[in-house]
Amino acid sequence: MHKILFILAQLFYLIAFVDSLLGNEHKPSWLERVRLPSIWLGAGVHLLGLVVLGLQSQAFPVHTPGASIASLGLLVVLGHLMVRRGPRMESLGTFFLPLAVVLLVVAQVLPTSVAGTVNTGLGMIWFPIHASMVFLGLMAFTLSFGVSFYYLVVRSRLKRKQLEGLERLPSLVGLDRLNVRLMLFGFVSLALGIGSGGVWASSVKGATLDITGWVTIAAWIWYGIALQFRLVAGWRGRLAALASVVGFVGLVGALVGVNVLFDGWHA
Amino acid sequence: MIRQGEIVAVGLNHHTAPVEFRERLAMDSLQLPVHLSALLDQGLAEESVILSTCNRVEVYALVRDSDPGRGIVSYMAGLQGVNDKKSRSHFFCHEGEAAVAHLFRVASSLDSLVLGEPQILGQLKGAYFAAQEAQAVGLVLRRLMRQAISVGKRVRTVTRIGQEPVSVGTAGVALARQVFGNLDGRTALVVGAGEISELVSKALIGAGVEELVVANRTFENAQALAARVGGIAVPYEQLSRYLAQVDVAIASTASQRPILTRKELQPVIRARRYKPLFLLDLSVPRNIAADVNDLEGAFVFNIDDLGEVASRGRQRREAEAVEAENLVVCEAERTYRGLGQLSAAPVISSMTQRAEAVRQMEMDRSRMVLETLDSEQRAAVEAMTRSMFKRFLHDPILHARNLAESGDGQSLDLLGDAFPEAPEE
Repeated sequence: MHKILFILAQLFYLIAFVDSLLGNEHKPSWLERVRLPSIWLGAGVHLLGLVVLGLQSQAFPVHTPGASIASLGLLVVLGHLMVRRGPRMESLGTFFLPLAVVLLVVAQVLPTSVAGTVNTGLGMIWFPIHASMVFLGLMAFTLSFGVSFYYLVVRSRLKRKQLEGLERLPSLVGLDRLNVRLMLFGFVSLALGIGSGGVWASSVKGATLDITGWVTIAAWIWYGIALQFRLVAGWRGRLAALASVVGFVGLVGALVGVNVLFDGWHA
Repeated sequence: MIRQGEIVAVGLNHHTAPVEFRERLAMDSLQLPVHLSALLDQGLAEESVILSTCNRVEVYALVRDSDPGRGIVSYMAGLQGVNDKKSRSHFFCHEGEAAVAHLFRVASSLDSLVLGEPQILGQLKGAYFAAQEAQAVGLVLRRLMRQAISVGKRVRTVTRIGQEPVSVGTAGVALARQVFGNLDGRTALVVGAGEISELVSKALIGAGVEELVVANRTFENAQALAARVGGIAVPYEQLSRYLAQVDVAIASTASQRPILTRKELQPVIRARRYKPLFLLDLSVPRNIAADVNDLEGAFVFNIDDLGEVASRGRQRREAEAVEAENLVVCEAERTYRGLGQLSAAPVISSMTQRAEAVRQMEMDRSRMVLETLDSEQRAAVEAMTRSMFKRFLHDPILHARNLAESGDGQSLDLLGDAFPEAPEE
């Protein structure tokens, strides 16, 4: 059931994505109103799919790689809905909407249900807090990655005087400001996630910090350093965008590598 | 043709007459009431509005003349002092729906020298208010001018005709916005005190730049430009200090070599902690070395870049004008039809007045009987009689509107005669 809902959500995201690509020029006015409802409908169906998945597994829908990536996809879409309200920020949809579709495709390929026993600690109060905070942090870093990518594109086009169509994209300062806010939000969320994860792990008999945990802490430190450099040495704009891109690529690469190499899910 | 006469648009503009003709006719706000009254007093128009700008002097009028607009052309040609065939050839004259469409094109800035420029709508409003004050507008032109202003606004809302940059100033603002987004509260430095610096400075201030400082080798020239644009003049020697503080810098001097080089700007950029610095080089030869653009946080644009943005803006406005033109034609047709129906208003009014008088007379005649009824019953009788007359008049009113729309004044008069004002006892 949840797979059908995920496919439906992908369909809505794709409609909104195609609509974003076309832009608002030379388009019937009714088509301009399709984009936002499509995203909301997609997010609603996506959420329903996660609820169904959670009810089927009797667990918070981050208990498997597939469920986690599907949850991250929904958070990315909700994050996009928040940031798109800024001036010309709705063009970011051309990045985040296909990303959400890709995340849902990956989620469907990976296992979404647990073959063995679910960790007995999952029902404890600290686990939902830990998972929510970590996933909010990951959402912020994913959005920051997308915003940074846009920053680098806009900057490069301004530097090379490729001005055609640039007016549809957000301003450089707007993107930089949004990027630092997202990095800060992600940093604080991840700090709370790591802290609550520590409390949760200490209450579970025999729990130790695994490689995924170490990778997450390393990413948190990286973003902390990037924010510190911005405050102290004025690392803004391109440097902040590069720090975000490198941090995110490193984090995703490490998480994928760890889970492929060690064949286990952080729990 | 509408029953009260015909709508005409008469005059000359940048399409039909060179500036030496236009300037002879240009009217200021004091002259407008004089000419509006003259047109009415001399029987050349029933109602009139005169629009006088640097690109056009046009009269929109309701005329009864058998050759609409000829009298107004003669009057306007007479104002030039030369009323010969050659001077009259510069005038255009549109009648009926074509006149309405022309007015709507003017209001929408489709007829302007710079397509989509925003000033014309304000100028048209001013012309309408002046005509109102001079008591030169009546039912027809009042409705027409209101509709023209509404169409002008709608074209700007529905299309992007007024949004694309088309001048050096607006192109500079558009590029600065690409870096900063909103320019509200930003600061700018202008190096050089030429005409082009002034244009861009004014555009930046208009776009929200809060503080503008002007530096020039001749301090007096800096002071003069600063006074004109509402900025502050600063000594040229303090250039680096201000470059470290401002968001936008414009260079436009006659210097034959770059005044801002990479070497000079490197410490400035570091002092700014890599905050974006938007640099506009409006000079030829260039005042800002090309490699400054390679510095982190520096974004340099020259006169060719602005030209490219402005040229693209013009092309887009032309594309938008097609959509705007369709809108204008539809609105002109609808409005002209509506104006035709206006002539049915007196006939419809006499029909309803007559009906009400008859109803009231009959109610009075039955007063004795009605007094035996309670208030609720009397109200029901009132409502019923009103409804009867309303239903009875529905078809004649519709017929009157159709006659007015088709311009059949004779039949409309006959219909009106069937409803004399005082009912017979």
